[in-house]
Amino acid sequence: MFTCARGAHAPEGRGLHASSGTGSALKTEISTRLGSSSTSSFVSAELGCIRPVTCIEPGRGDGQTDYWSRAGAADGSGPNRKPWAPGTGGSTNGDSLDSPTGSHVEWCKQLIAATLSSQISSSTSADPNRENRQDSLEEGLGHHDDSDSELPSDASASLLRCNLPALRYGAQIKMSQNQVPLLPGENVHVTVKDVMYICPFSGLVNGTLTVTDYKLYFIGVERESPFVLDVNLGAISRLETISVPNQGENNKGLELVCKPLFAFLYKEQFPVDGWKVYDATAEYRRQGLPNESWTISKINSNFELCDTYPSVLVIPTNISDEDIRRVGLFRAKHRIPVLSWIHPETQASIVRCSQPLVGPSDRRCKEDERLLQIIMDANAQSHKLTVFDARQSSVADTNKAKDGGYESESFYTNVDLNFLEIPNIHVMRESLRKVKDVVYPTIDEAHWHSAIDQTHWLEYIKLLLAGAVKVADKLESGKTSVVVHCSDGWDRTSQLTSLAMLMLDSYYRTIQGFQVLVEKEWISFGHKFSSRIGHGEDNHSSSERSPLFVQFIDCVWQMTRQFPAAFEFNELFLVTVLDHLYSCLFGTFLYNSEQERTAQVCEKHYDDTHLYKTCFNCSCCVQEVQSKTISLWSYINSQPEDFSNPFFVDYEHHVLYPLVSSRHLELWTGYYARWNPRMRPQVPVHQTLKELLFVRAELQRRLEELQKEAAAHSLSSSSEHSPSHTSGTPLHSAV
Amino acid sequence: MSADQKHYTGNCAKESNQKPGSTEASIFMRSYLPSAQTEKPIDPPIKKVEPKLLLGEIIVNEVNFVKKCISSENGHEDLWGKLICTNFKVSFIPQNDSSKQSEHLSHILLGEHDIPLTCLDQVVTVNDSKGKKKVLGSNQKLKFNPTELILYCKDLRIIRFCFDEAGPESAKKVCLAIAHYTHPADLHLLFGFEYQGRRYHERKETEINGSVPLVGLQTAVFDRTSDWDREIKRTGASEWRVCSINERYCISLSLPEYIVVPASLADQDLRQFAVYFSDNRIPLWCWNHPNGSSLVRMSNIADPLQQKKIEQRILNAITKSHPQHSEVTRIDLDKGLPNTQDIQSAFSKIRQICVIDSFEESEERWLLQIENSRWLEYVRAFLKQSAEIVYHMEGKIASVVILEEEDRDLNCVVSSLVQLMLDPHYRTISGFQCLVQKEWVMAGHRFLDRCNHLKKNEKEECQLFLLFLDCVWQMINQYPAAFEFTETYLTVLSDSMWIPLFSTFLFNSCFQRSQHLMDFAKAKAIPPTEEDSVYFPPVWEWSQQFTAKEQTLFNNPMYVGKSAACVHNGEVKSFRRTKKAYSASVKGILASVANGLRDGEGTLTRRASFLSELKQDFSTVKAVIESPSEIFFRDWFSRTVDLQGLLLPMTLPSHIALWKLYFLRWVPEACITKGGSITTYHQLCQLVDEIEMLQSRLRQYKGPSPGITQSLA
Repeated sequence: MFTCARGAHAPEGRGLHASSGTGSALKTEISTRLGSSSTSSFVSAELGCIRPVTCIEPGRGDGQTDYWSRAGAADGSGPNRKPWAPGTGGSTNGDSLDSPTGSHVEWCKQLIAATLSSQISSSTSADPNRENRQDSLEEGLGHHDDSDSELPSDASASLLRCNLPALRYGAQIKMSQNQVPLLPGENVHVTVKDVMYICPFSGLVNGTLTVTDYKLYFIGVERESPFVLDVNLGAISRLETISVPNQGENNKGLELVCKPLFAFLYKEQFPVDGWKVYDATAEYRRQGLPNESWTISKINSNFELCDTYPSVLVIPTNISDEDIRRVGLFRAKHRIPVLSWIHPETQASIVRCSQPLVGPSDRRCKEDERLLQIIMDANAQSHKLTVFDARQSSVADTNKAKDGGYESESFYTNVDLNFLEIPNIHVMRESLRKVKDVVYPTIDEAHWHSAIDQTHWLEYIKLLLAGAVKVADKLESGKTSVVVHCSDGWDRTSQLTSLAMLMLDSYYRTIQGFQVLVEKEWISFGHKFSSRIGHGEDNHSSSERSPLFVQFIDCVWQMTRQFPAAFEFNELFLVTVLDHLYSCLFGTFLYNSEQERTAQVCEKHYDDTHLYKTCFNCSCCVQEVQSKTISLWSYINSQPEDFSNPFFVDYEHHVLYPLVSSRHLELWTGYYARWNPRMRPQVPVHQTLKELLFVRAELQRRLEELQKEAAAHSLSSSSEHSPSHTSGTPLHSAV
Repeated sequence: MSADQKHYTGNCAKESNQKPGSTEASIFMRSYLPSAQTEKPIDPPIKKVEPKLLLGEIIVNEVNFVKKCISSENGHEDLWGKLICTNFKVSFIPQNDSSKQSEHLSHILLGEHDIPLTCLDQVVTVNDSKGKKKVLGSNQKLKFNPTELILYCKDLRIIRFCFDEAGPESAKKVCLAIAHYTHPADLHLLFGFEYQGRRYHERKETEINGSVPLVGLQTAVFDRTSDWDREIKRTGASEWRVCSINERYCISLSLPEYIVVPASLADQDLRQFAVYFSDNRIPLWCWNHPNGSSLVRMSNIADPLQQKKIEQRILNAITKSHPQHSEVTRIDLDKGLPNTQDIQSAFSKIRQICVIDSFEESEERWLLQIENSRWLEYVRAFLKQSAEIVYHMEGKIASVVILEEEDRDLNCVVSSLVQLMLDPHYRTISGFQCLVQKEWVMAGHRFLDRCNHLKKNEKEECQLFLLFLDCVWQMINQYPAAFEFTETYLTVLSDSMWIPLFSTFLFNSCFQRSQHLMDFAKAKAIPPTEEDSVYFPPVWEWSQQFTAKEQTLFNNPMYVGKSAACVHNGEVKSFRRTKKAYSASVKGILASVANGLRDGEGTLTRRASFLSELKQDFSTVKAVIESPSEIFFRDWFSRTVDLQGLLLPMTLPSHIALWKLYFLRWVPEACITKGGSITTYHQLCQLVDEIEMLQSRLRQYKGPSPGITQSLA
């Protein structure tokens, strides 16, 4: 419960800030700070710095080893992983162990703020102080339990209270014997006492560390508003030991802790089932499909045509399955052009696909050319078709040399080809890494703007938004259908199509609609979340990782900044989505494709070690991801009021073009730098608005009551009952 | 004269920012008005191509068939009409004003295409075919026939007129007239003197006829002892007294006639000290903290031999006025803060980036250029310096003396910011106006020179007041519910600097002001018994510029006034009525924020350490050593903000934003179609009105007793 609150939810983190009491203010900073790593997208670890006390005995050392390796196992380190302590305890240079990039190590080192000076507690402590502390904590938690499913009303809420809104639905918080709040299904693996946590921003905190199969939980010994640090393991991508100057002999190696897929163990119950949010067929029906030109096809129902595409596809009516298969051979990863969105009036459509396999010899595919022609013809408003290739034209040429390529305007008649010049995932990864360097742990006050400038992050945001505006405008003003692709059609393509749809279709600007958008353009169309985020992977520096989805959410945030009243969801919603992108608490962002997701996982292979590499061929597998995990949308839709934007006005048929200007693009410090206590957010206006809305509702309620009363009264006395201006004189002098 | 004119449309140029595909009416962020509110019935356009003239305004020159270039890209938005130069403004009257009335804040005195002459910064004439360009000064010759006139305005507008179809000679004449009239030889030639004189007499006549009597101003202007007495009483500065030794300006020409000094210093002492200070400026009391510490502003003592001694005596006197007799902190603002030239150069640069450079070009290196301009850095520096002083007064309970060479520039900014942070009174509209009056106008900020109204000396020009407004805006941006006024108010106030009809920004000192106004009264046969604010009003008389309805836009709907608490745990406890539409004096909304949290805590996160120079060193893990002020700031930020108490700005660079309304409102490319923060403002206003309506209806049910309060408590 706590866990996701800290590690995963920004807002709760903030709640903690505010509620943790003056005395613990500083410490709470620390906790959120540490928790922060989970949010920092692809490098999301900053735990570590294990500092054994010098007097540790070998046996103790082993104990420690044991502890960590157990934790490692719980986290999903398979036998192929390096066991933590024995392997690293003796090695002298951590960086050499599996240091992916120097900068990553540097980043982690800077992040690493925890020094745990520890002894293994073999049994529950007899220390009376500790017992007392636990008692007091227990009270707090008990209270917490009582007020579980309703808004807390007692002003003297304990520290723990603030995390309530996170997951309050029916969550039965169990307490382990060490008073760690556990999620249903969560188990404690080890508890370590007398741990010291050193925050770079303040001093030491003594406390107890507990590792469960989901989180790492640290609680300070202080009685009043104990300091709590809570990081879910999914967020940790590595542990690192670094030496402390006066105990330099303990310069330990680095070790990755693999991400546990706790989602499969998480048993929270929500009244709403988020898996039901997206139904591809229903969504296409909403768009008015099928129609005479487009059909909802089952050609890929067994993922035979394309294993990274969803099972439900919309393709033109008058093309044969045979031709479609031929097209599949001509498109990278068989990702053929399929409809993703259709304009309700003009019938212009957004079609997405991967690059054509033109190759250096300018191969052609008659079926592919015909397919694009049919797509163009499906829209009577225009005699053109625009292909947006998200890549840089030079890169597209390189791809062509490597058997990829792009649609030649001479072979594809009536096709306009545009390159959007967006760099690839590696550039984006590097850019976000720089953003982190800029905002954390220290910021260069004198060169803040130029430092942001040098990350180029906003430049890429600008490119993406500009690309999406072009796509949207081509449809809206040009009434022309567009085809969007990059190389494989699952990264930049998803970004562009989903952003364009967000501009074009107000439905996607609602909470529900946005979920559908993400489910559709990202999850079902095979954005490789698992590879891009690195769920359950040990290769911290994998070149497959890239924060493309983060970048998309950033673009959405930029749009919400420009149109504060156009989106039903608020910033917390976006942050929550990103938090759970990394948290592994929900199944929503697990796996790379619909096929992997719906693939049946056999019980034999279903353990918490190596889940994400499922066995597709094992016949004994019976479970699906959807039934084994909980959808993020279950959580969000169970408490939509927390995520809704009080300013929202449904501009139903408004097409919104964000202003793609450096003047209006901002670094989203509310997300990237939220754990830096010095960069706290400014007072949100919407908070005031919410209060005003509440006042209004309250007044309306009172008024209605009085009106009823008055009506009843006037009936009985049969006197004048006009509510407003006819009632005697004194009423008007009320002011 | 023009009471029948319903639509003096706002002083924002109408722009069309045709985003791809947008066909509907656009809402611009630069608009002062929230969009939906502007849908008022539009009068049929007035066909006559006649300027609307104010009292005493005369046409100097005019030229027909002029094209006003609206958008640089496409010409179809351009307007044709007549360009007129009067003794007050440059006016452009579109021939066929077919375009719908602009929906910006309407100004009573100025039309949409009007620019007061004092607002002009540079008058540039261009001859395209000859490739010539000339910046016109006063009494200059123009050797070519201009094809184009570009007016660079001090409010950051840039306006282009084309003379392709106009008579070359008359075009030239108008250009020269504009250039000439923007360089008045003397202060009393500014149009305000003409206008206010006539206006006075006209109003006198109507008064005699039995209508509206001339009412004095609500805002205290601190030109009399009673204003100071009230301020002393309000702040509890019992050890300070009003001193009148500068009556008739016999000590210093830059000080006001009445000043506040330590009670322990006799007039005799002050006379003796005065000579050592620059311009005989006796140190001025600004404000007293409830804890007894005072803020005092002081100029440098020129004589190095006497400096220590005199200063010590002054400081001793201030110490004596402190209830704890604690030591006085002396802060030299000339060290560590940018000087006026730095500030002006930063302003020029940021202006260059925002409005002069081509949009696309500046896009490329936007962040770098913003940083290089150093404007935001300076804004931050002033906020930080002020916060530091707050620490001394609030945290160390020490009186603070701020020193500046002349005590007429930086001290104005810092002293007013400190008071804004410490005293919620100054966060109301009337309080803020008092503050400007006290710390700027009366303290002798040289508005005339700094604004360079007479275009005499560019070196003296400095947009220091704008820097101050920007600092205030940063505070508003960070604490949107803490101020009674909006950014619209600040913008309008900044624009008013360039309208020479009000006494506030016209003079270098009280002395100069009284001299000019005395002469003026004599010349215009105004009885000497008349208050000068009646015959030459300060800018605070907003009804001169805006209707009551427009003025509601100055009110922040989120502002929470002094009295407290209404929503708590789902109960409306007390609810004070709102005073006017759009001004939510919805009391105590914020208390509810603490809903469900322990007492004294809130969800408004205040948890940044304020540590300015803190270096995080991760390689050596050790406790950070904080200075006392850092601890103070961190402590403060860890608590819930009391919007009616001390308010500290967050001063990391990431907290300091560009004031877009001010800097980008004239840039069509920078306006967000159908969006912008104005949409939220509008919604807040609607909501507050709705609440007010509900309240009044409730009151009708409940009767005059504070029923709702009782019943809901």
